[in-house]
Amino acid sequence: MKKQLEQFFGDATTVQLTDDEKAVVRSRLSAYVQLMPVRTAERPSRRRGLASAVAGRAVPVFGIVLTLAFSLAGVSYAAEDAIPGDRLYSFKVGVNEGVRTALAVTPRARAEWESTRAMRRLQEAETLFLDGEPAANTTRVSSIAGNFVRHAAQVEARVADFEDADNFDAVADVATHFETSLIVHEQILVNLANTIDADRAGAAEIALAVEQQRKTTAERRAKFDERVRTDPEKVKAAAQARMRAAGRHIEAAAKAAAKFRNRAVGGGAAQFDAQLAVAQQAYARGEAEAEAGKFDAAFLEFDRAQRLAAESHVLLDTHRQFRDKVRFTVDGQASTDAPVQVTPVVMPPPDAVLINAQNNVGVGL
Amino acid sequence: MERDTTQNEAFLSAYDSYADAIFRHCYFRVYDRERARELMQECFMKTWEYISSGKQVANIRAFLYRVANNLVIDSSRKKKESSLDELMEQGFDVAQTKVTDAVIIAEAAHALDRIKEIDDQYREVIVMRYVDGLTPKEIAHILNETENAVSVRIHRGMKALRKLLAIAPQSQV
Repeated sequence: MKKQLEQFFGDATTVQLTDDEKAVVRSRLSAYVQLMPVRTAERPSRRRGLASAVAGRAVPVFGIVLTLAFSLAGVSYAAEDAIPGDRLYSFKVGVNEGVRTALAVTPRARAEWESTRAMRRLQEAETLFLDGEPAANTTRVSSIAGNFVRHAAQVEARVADFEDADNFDAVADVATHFETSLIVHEQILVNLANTIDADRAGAAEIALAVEQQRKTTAERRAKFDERVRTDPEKVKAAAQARMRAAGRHIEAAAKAAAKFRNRAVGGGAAQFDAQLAVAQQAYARGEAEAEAGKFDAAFLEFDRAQRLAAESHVLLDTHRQFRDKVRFTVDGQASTDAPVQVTPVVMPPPDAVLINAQNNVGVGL
Repeated sequence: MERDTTQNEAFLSAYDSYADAIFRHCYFRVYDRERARELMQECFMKTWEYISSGKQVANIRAFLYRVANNLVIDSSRKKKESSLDELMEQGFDVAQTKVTDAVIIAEAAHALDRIKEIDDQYREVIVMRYVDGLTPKEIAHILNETENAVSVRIHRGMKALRKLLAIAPQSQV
């Protein structure tokens, strides 16, 4: 008997990494170790959250800290806020993003990271238009647009692989978040093109690139959803995946909304709460449909819940990023079937408001 | 700088020594090879973050297991929050991870299927004891429990495993 158990546990120990897998992770860790040296009394302290930034999780921006010694960690920190034209921008893209790219081990992690990179380019463009010098923007804008298109193409390629493999969880997580982010940033860029006198052409160029990508993404998604919904076996698994994703997005959006509520002036948080409530109602309807065996209907409800929650989350992240420069307008009242349309609007600079007082921008939040 | 190099080398040496064991431990908890690999990498990254913040690690092996254990628990917690369990009970089946990984040989597949059936609180200690080779004292340190409590769990877990394997408990392993 003892021998049988020994055999049993011996079999279990055959589960291990392949040599390639082990080598790949080792090289990532080696790079990570170099980027984050051990802190000593002589070495300046790191900003909290640097490790999270390198690992690919969102880090709040507390301000730029430059040290005279320019330790690698300090430079990495400072570079995160760089935009094209800044001295540290090449460090941000070449080193910070290089390490994060290397650490994305799985196809899903790589797809999520490429999606993040695409959005980082759009945030840089938005910062450029809001803060930058228009005369210098032309080449920077073209560079950003080109890089955005490149990252977006990577995301599309990986999502296509997930769809071919019927990897419904990866499709639900990666593709929906990507599409929702595109929608929000397109709105911001269109607003910029319409609102900011300086460099309208640059903002319009990027907005067009985003619009084209959004349409491509939406078309691909519609085809995939159609294929899945007409297959009774696949629609059940896809509905399960959307349910999981919707649950995660609702939770994340609720946390972001709670933080926003603490900062919001004039009761604006109520609109996001209303949108989340509609998402939760859609989720509940999805559960009921699934329980009744109507997986196609369940798929649609969970998909809707996920989109509403994901959009809220992206909007709240945008507000956090551009706090005093981007507000939201709200159309309509929340109801069971129709969530409020919360649209990001760029606040024009004070002199533009005086000149265009009748435009009535930035009303609401 | 020289001290840095020594610590870097020591850390990567720990990776060479324990990567497979940590991966295996994660795999027997989450039953998803990709996820297990992500958790293993994150375990080492978090360990390095701790070391690089200037803190000392007396026993790196135990530390790695503790970090991996916490990551697995967090990972499981996130999965349960979408009310899947309730729907499962009502017949809405959750897709199970199939043991079809080409790298896992046939005999190991049998072991995996059996261990998967044991309750996680027992599986956790059995894997640490008999697959990872940790002593009850080390396991107790990792889980922050008494050695006695760990021994009891191992005993109960083995009893459940023997029942599954239909082996009479004629001798202690």
